[in-house]
Amino acid sequence: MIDLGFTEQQKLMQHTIREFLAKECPRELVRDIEDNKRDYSPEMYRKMADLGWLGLLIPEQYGGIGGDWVDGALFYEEAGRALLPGPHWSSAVLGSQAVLTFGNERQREELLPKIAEGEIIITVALAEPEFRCDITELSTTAKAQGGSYLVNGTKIFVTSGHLADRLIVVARMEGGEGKAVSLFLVEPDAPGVAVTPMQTLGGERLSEVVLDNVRVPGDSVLGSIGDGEGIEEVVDKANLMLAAEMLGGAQVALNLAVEYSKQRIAFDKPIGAFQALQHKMANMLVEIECARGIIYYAAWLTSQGRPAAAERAMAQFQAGEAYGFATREATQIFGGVGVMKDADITLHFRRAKMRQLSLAPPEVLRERMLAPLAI
Amino acid sequence: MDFTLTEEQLAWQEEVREFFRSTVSEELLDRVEEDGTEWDQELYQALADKKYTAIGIPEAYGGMGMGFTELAIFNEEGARASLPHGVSSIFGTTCQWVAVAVIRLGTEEQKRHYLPRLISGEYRVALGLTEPGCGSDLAAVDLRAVQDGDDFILNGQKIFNSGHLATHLITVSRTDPSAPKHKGISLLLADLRAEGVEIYPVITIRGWKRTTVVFEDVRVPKTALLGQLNRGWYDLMSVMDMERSGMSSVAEREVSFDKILQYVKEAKRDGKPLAEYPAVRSALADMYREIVVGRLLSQRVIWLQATGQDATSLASFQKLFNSEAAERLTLAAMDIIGPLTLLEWRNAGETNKRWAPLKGLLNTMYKDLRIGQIYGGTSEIQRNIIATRELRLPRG
Ligand SMILES: Cc1cc2nc3c(=O)[nH]c(=O)nc-3n(C[C@H](O)[C@H](O)[C@H](O)COP(=O)(O)OP(=O)(O)OC[C@H]3O[C@@H](n4cnc5c(N)ncnc54)[C@H](O)[C@@H]3O)c2cc1C
Repeated sequence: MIDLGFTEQQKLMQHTIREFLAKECPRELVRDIEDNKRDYSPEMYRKMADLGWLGLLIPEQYGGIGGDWVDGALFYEEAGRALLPGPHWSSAVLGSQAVLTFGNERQREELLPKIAEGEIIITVALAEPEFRCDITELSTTAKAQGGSYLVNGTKIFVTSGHLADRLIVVARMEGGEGKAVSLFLVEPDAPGVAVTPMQTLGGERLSEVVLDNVRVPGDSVLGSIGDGEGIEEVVDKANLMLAAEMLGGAQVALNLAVEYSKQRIAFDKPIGAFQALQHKMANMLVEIECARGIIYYAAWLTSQGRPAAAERAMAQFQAGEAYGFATREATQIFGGVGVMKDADITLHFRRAKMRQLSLAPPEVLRERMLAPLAI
Repeated sequence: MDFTLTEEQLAWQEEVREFFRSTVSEELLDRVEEDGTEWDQELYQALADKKYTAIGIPEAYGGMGMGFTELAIFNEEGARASLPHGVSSIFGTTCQWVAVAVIRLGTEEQKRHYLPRLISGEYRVALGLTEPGCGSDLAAVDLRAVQDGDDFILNGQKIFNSGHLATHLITVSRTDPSAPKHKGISLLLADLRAEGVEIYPVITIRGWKRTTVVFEDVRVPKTALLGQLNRGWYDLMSVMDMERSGMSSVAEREVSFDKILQYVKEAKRDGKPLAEYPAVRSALADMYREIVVGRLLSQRVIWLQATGQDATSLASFQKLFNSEAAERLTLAAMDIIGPLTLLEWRNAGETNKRWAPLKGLLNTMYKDLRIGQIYGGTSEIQRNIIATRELRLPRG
């Protein structure tokens, strides 16, 4: 029977997360991190570990709470509302899923409980300066030498790279082993690794990771040599959580605009009485609800193990549209105060473009949408 | 029909282009971008020394007496050289707006006092329209100016202006609170160095500095009243016919487009220049078309103004179209160039500067995306004007 609602348990979780973030993730914290005053809040991260949220997507046998992608989306919608900063996505979503998908039993047992407890932060280093989603075109290479591997290349846009205790570096095999893509667990303080955080539009830092003849022992290959191509699917699933985050952000942008337009007076009326603005806000809501529908559908399909690449692409694209549209229109409704740095809407305005551009490029998402049509 | 400039106008264009080329250097632009002032005193003085501050002022008053076409050429060339916004906004307010207002509304004494000083650069004027309580609805201003002997005493605030770069603020103030909204307003050229004036910075999302000017029992002599007492609203409307082609915003967009074009010709994806991808080409064609179309709208405004015709509606068309086209261009270009555009350039580390394409141009354009659609009359207000004034639709 069709049921498009949340379970009681999910509703409770939504409520708990919202309350928690309202208390633990105030705007001042978000701003401090934006202004480079600090990197993230280890205290909050610890509390989230205690609540089980770092292990949200990690099976119970590895110390997680074994939630599915719908739970994940629900969590991320709240995270988006609160502009949750920190390495949750990199480590508890992307990193954990990479380990879960590719790691051997020893690696899962070693790493996943630590991720869930917040003991280590792990992230994936995939993107490169010219990389547009064709994984066989990676320029970072690995070469077998004795029992270990030598890794060389430059990664960019590594999320939480400067906070990570472990990097999962995606590299192409050089010489004798074809073009196969493999994953290497690299410690950021290993000789030859240089991690440099960079300031971005969204306020969060992304890192450049330069690997110069980095020696990786044979047992630090995640899974086996040649296993890495599936990393794109893991990234895609993790990006679905970003779509949910954008949904939460878009909803806040709309809420802020609605509230403001009831209060701000121009020409002797609240500006919300002008139909020009009413139509904007009505359009925002429709965009947001379109995003909500496809995001939870894609999350449900993914949790069911059904093919959902096209739906995930639609969800990400639609979320990008909704967040971008909502934040631009909300800014317009705020008028001059909306483009001053200390306005809350600016945080979402910048975050919206940041997130949309962190997804696969629009042309790639569009191709994924078309794939099931086989045209 | 004839779409060409005259020989003299072409020579003028060449002259100012050369002036800006030699005065607005890359280093200067980097510096004013990083410190957020958008200002360079020497540059402003250079404009004054060249008497460019007097181009729109009739010869009878010591000016160059040039027309709208020449003014637009000047503004366009300034924009093409990326003249810092602080400089262009102070310059525009001081020389193309207040100076004209002084000539039209001022007494002989005011003309003798203000004009030489506005031209020499000694007086620089910022625009004091917006207040915390009103922007679009300008006639709702609440900055109080109460008569007291030979002075007005001012209390209230003006926000989002360039007060920190100016010596004076042209303030739209309320002199008769009991009269109907439009009938109790006066224009005062308030000296910002007077006692009781406090100036606080406000920073835009892009990092550009604006100011809040707070007046607390500030004495402004009655000699600073421009036009008639309580007729300020009508006086304001009558001097609002400054150069409104928006050609400078078209030129800015053109400069950005050229840089983007250069980038996509060089940058490769999978071994092929970006510019060879069909999706990129179609986006480029849209950008280019919107530049050409926008430029023609602006050109019609200039022509209407230069020939003494009413340009109100066309000025709204161009403002609306050009500011929204800038948004479309920015978003499309960011999608094309991709996540590298997320990297900050301004005040950022070395690694950022190494990777950020076009010195963070699109990052900055994104942050500024809505500003063009907000200041100088929001897009909604422009649409209202077009609907009611041009289409004569009933008011909502
Ligand atoms: C970067 C920057 C520089 C500026 N520089 C100056 C300066 O130098 N001097 C100065 O005086 N001011 C300056 N301003 C202020 C600017 O002119 C105002 O922000 C602008 O006029 C809008 O006014 P507001 O911000 O009060 O918005 P509001 O007027 O409060 O408008 C809020 C929203 O309501 C909408 N709205 C209002 N009325 C209607 C209506 N009748 N129908 C439909 N929608 C409506 C608006 O379009 C907008 O979306 C600057 C602003 C910025 C952002």
